[in-house]
Amino acid sequence: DFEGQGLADQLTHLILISFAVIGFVTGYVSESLLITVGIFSVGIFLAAVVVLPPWPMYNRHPQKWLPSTKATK
Amino acid sequence: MYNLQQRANVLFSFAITALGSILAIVAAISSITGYPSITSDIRVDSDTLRVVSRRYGPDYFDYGTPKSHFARLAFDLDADFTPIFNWNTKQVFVTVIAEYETKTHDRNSVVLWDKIISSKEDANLNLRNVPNKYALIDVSRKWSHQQVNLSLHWDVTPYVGLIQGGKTPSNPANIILSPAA
Repeated sequence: DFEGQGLADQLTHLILISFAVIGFVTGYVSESLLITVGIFSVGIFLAAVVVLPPWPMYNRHPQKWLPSTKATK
Repeated sequence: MYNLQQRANVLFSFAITALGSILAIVAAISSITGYPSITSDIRVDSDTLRVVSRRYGPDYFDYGTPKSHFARLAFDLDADFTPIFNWNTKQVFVTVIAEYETKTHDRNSVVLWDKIISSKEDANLNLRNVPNKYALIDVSRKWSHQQVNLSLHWDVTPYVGLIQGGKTPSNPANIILSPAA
């Protein structure tokens, strides 16, 4: 369904950007670039869990298919 | 976004884009703010200076034509590199360079010694009686009373960004290199 696709798209952007910003600030404060990259990797993993499998929330507005017509001989 | 492959593709490409922009911001910050300069002190004890005439240099390097003049010395070095270590510093490469003039060439620089500092804990250098790692030898293979100035150079290798370097002004070490006995 298209609403679900839009939702999945928004979610990936939101999760990844927020983890990027959090990671950047945390790394800057703690003087370690490793922390920044580590937090961002956790963000990638979390986004993968939220977006990749076909959760039911993405299927709340399914497309209406036309009823199948009998094949005419 | 209707199948797994497409969602995975979007996720992966956006993640790479976000990571790249984080690293680009870090590199830009390092380029703009730069690294601080440090002061250092190099002293040479004149008793340790000798000019010898040998065929083989340090590390058993065969200099070929017989008997070149090598200058051997030992110096004391005090330098504190801890301000240079920020979150984007991977290592600092430190060298001690000897500069002098000859009749045929105006600027000669010879690297005497170098060191790689990889962590902030090792960054405070207080070294005594360090012999030169590399040969102090002139192109003409002979020394004829040149005055040598020693200076300390460093290059900072960041995790992301441009390599930046600096140096201390060369203090005259008051060494005169005379021909070997």
